[in-house]
Amino acid sequence: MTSAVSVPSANPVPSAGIGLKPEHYRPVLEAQVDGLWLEIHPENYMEAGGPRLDWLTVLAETHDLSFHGVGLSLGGVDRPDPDHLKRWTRLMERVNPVRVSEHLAWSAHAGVFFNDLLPVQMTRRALDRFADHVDIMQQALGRQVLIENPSRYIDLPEELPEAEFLAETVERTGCGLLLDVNNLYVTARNMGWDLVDDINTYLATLPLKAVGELHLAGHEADSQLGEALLVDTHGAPVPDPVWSLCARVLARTGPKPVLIERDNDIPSFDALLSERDRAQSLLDMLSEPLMGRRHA
Amino acid sequence: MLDRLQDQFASALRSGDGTPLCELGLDADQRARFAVYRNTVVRGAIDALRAAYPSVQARLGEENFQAVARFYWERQPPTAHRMTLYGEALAKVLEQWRGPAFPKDLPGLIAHDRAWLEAHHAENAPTFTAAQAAALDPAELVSRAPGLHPSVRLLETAPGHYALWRNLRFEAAVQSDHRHSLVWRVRGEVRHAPLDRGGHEFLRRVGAGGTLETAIATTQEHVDGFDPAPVFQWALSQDVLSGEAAGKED
Repeated sequence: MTSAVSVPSANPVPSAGIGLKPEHYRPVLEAQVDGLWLEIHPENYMEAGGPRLDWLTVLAETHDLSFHGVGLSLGGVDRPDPDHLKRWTRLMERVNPVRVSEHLAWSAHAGVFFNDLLPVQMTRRALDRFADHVDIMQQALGRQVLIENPSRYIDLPEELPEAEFLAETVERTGCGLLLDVNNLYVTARNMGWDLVDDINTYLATLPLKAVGELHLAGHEADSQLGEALLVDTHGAPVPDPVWSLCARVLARTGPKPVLIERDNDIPSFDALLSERDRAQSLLDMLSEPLMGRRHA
Repeated sequence: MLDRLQDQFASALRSGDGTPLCELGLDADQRARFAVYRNTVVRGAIDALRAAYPSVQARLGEENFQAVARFYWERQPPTAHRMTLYGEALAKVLEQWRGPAFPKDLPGLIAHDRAWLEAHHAENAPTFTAAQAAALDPAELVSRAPGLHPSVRLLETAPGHYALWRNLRFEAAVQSDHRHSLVWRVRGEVRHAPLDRGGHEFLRRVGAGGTLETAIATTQEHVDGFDPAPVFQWALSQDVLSGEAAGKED
């Protein structure tokens, strides 16, 4: 089943980016921050025309773009929607993203789109179907796709752990991974994992060479269940435990593009940029010893 | 198993009733956690509708708007794998509403908000400009069939609805009894304007693909004293006419 898809060459110097929001189009254009790349949900740019597409086209001239899909429902029962894939392709042809990614999740069922990342039950049959759908996406786009680990809120009976599920998907399809550090933290907390040992096991199980991008975001305690249930809201700054976990992950993976995600309660561009600069400083610290050796 | 899980999960998301999840072996704690998904799905739909229909939200107030948005989502959940144009059937679905009566101007507000959204996302296209028109002799000009820019939405609503929409959406304080209005986009900016009956009829016929000559003649048949010059010049100056179909009609 392994796809004959092109794998984009790794950026020689991975840097930190931000999720692009309409509020920040102009500040991004005017700031011209060195190494800043931008991630979009392509679903927000799939209409026929208008200012969003115009802005994206302009920003693509000076910034690397990453496409992060939320609508293909790769973990669903139904095959990926061919019309939606055509819209992906058209948008890719327009602005040529450096990376594309989707989720280990489903969001559509029996013709209804739920606009959320819903949990996949980690069974052998689900793996077969998911790998098939990843393959369809990669073939349609002609590109390697990175698959993001989910934030989990409920503990469905499963036949194989999440990290194994992802590792087998990589093995079967040749896809890459988008390791969402906040999702990993939220899942670990919600599933009652040990934050050291179980996360180490998780990371040891994943093929870390396949990781092509990291995500950082904020989460919040559930309004009903409190700290017993963390919700991946993308509506708050990245909290310290997630920054710490990011440093642990980067120590294992080496430098990777890191994204600051924010989808709710959008802060000022400057506030978002200061979080992005913190992520960049983590990457810089990893690069310095290498550069030092090179110069020695 | 996977099909059954997603059937039952989807059913529980739609209904808000977690009972189907018992069959999946989820205990009470897990079913309580399921509420995160349900809340996110419903809130996402309400947020999308609020963004699409700001004047409706302003007219109804947040609490009533949320009830209306839930009503809509329950009967017309999204089917496209994106939310940008969600809510197309709002006016039609609300005909089934059996709650407290809506303000009579609600259909006009819905129509104008929808026109704004569609104009915002409409295809980019070249426009038929005043300079292009001036380069043609009059006989040649009226033989052209320019069409309307893809973003143009012509509206006919009850008197006062357009003005109310302006006031609610843009915090304006306009008094107007216009029944006809136009919503369209000039490059990145969505604009709107009132029209008189003649202007509306003329642009409608231009949009139907007729030559300018035909559009003028037919409008004059239906609207006494219609003078095409002011609305045509205004449409040229406002990028309302399309440049793509400006060639001669076959």
